[in-house]
Amino acid sequence: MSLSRATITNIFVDNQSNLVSVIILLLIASISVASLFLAAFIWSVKTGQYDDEASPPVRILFDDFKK
Amino acid sequence: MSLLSTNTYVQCYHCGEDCDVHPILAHDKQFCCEGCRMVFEILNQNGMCDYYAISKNPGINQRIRVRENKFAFLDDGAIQQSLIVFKNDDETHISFYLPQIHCSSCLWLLENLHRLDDAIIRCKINFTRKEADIVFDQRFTSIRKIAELLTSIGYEPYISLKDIQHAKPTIDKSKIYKLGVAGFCFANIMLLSFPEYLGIDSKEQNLLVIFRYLNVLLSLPVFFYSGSEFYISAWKSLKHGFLNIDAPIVLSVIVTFCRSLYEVFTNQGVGYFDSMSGIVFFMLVGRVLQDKTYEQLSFERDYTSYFPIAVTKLKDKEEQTVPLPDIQLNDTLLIHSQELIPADGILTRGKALIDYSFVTGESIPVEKEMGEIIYAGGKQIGGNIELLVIKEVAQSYLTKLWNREELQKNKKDEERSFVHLLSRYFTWIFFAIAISAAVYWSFHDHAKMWTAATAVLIVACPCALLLSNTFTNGNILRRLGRNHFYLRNAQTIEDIANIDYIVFDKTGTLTTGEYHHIVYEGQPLNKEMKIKIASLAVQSTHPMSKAIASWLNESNRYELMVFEEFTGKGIEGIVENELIVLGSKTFVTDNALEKDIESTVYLKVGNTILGRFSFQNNYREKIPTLIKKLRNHYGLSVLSGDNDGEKKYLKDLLGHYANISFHQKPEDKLEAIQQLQRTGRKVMMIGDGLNDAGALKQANVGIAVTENSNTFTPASDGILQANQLHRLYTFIRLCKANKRIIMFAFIISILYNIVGLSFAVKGLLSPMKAAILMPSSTISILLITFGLSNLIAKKMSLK
Repeated sequence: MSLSRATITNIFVDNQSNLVSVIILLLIASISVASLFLAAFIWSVKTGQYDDEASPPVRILFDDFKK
Repeated sequence: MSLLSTNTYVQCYHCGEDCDVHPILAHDKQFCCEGCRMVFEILNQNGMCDYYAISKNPGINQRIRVRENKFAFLDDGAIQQSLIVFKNDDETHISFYLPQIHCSSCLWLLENLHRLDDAIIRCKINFTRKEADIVFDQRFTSIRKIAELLTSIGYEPYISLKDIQHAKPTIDKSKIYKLGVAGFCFANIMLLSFPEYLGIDSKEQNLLVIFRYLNVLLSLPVFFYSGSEFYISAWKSLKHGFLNIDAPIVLSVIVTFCRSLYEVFTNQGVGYFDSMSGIVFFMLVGRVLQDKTYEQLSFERDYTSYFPIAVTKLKDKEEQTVPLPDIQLNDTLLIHSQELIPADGILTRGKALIDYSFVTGESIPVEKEMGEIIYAGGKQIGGNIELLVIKEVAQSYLTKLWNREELQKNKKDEERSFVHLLSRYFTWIFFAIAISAAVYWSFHDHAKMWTAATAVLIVACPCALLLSNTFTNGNILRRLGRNHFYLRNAQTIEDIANIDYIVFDKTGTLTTGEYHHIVYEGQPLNKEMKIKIASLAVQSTHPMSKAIASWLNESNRYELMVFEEFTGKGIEGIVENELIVLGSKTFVTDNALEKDIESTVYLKVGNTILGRFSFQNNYREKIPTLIKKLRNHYGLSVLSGDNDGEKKYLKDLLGHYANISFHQKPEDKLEAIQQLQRTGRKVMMIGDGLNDAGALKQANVGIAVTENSNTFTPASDGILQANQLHRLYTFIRLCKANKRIIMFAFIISILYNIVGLSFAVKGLLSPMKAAILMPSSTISILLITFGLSNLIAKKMSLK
């Protein structure tokens, strides 16, 4: 039914080239996720989300007014 | 005659102020004045009474109404152009400064501005800067109409000469970006360095090489982008022939980077990329914390932010609005009540009552007759007057004072700090060690020479000093800010710690500048008589007369049979068949030989002089205690533009060594400070008005005192809320503690450096040791600086 423990170990450890490629895959994934966060941070600074820290928490409590 | 008792305190529904004796009733609510009621009516008609539900009594008092046509100048094309941020065919963007914004109700009301005028597309408030960014359709409304709408609901836009003369400063966010990039790279380099430190199977050498090259890649943005912050500052000061703390840091960063590159490309090791990016990251954090300034406050105001943007000019009997810089000699200006006089001129029509407290500190308004010269900077508080311009705006007395050459140059901020001096010694010592290590190894083991020398230079980075400096400064700035003492920048902390002489302004600084304190000497007044005097006094608009009326605290009034006001002398009237005269001594006694006593009003009923009211300045709370503490440690002076009515009291307060001068003009104050500085004193000037502006700028530290952070303060190094003035001594002590904390943290960091050095000179500084030393020294410095500064602040019972 499921993969035996030995098979899993086989995939990751025994086969040298497999280990390297998996780690590289993980590296790319982790760095790109981190870059996403960096981009999100720069975007949030650029759009002025830290300019005014007083009004947004109040503004969200106001009811919307339909014209 | 209504007989409402003054004992019941009626709050205005709009602004929350005392409704006095005769509240205005409308919609079952009570208002203190017509203005407040009108704002309520506007909001009520538009179904916007939620305004009153969000905060209690959110309004701004409307007792002083803004005159009509005040914003006529906004129809002028050139002025419009300078105010518009963006414009296309169907919308215009404009930004107004609304100093009245103070609560969440304000926010709600202003952001729902489109409900009051359909042509307004949206309005967004920046609460900290108190600015409204308004987008509107210029086909259906105009800037003037919007300004008038805002005024009608109690938010009068503040538009000053500065708005057309200077472009708005943009906030520099580059440091934050650099910090973000450095953080990202630092964290990833750390992660990729772990396998190397923790040991990895020799079979996986390929992997290690990949990690190393990835580290090189990740360190590039740190070295070339994030680090540029330090290169620029080091280069700038080198150009001025000055070695600041950034220079050795840059040297260290470059040495670290080059050696690491060399190690990686010659396949010798991993290099010190993690330490380098970590240092850059933490130093940037420190800088950002230290430089976080108070955006809502301005430390750079000059006269242009006080002056109106435009004035009314009379030409061939017609009124026209002209921008201030366009005023020429021999123009006739119409100055409305409550307006500032923009240029020196001769009064040609009307009765002027000029409040010069702004310029001279003299607290009593001056009355001027036709033909007299009125200087710029005064505020007309009587009716409308006409003025013939005799000097252009740029040539006026006040403006000229401002443009004095010695005030134009800025203090060189960064070159004054002791930190730079310390870092220089530090650097020389390490250079010496590096050279001796290199010389030693060149004899014993040539291969180790470069490793040892570069390792010393890596350790030699005075980043610990920079970190302890920036983090302590940042924390102290925030602590002071929490106690309503806002400093312009971190250097000011050190300047405050170094002062040895304090100069105070009197009016508005030591005193509140209002006449609350009236002493009556003479025959006692019964209730009947008090009502009579109050009925007379209330008729005049003179501040002293008004103050007497309110001091008498009688709500009933009699009808006056006759009333006459003599400008500059006094008032008289017949109340209930009795002649009452209030005024100066010469006027009341009718004897020109009598010498007038300043700040005193005499009272005559019938033919007998009953007594006199003397006005005393109201000293701020706990000022005597503050002065007693300060005079043991500092030289003290009081420079007052006011009359010398309180000389004796001040002498007692300040001790006999203190120098107390009265009738000081703005330039006298400036020269007094210069005089002190020539004798080697480090002077702190504490003042509040434009009259102190020159002295504030000239002093080593200029502190502006303000009633609340909404009011305008002249250019200064710090802004202190008036009710905190009595804690000045505590603030100074905290600034002094700042230096000791930095030194302490620095000594701790030197201990780490000695450990690092002992490895480095032996040529044994491995990347792993560096990677342990760097964060542990950083973290312990952070703990020390935050812990100590908070502990000391707490001990001084500061918030």
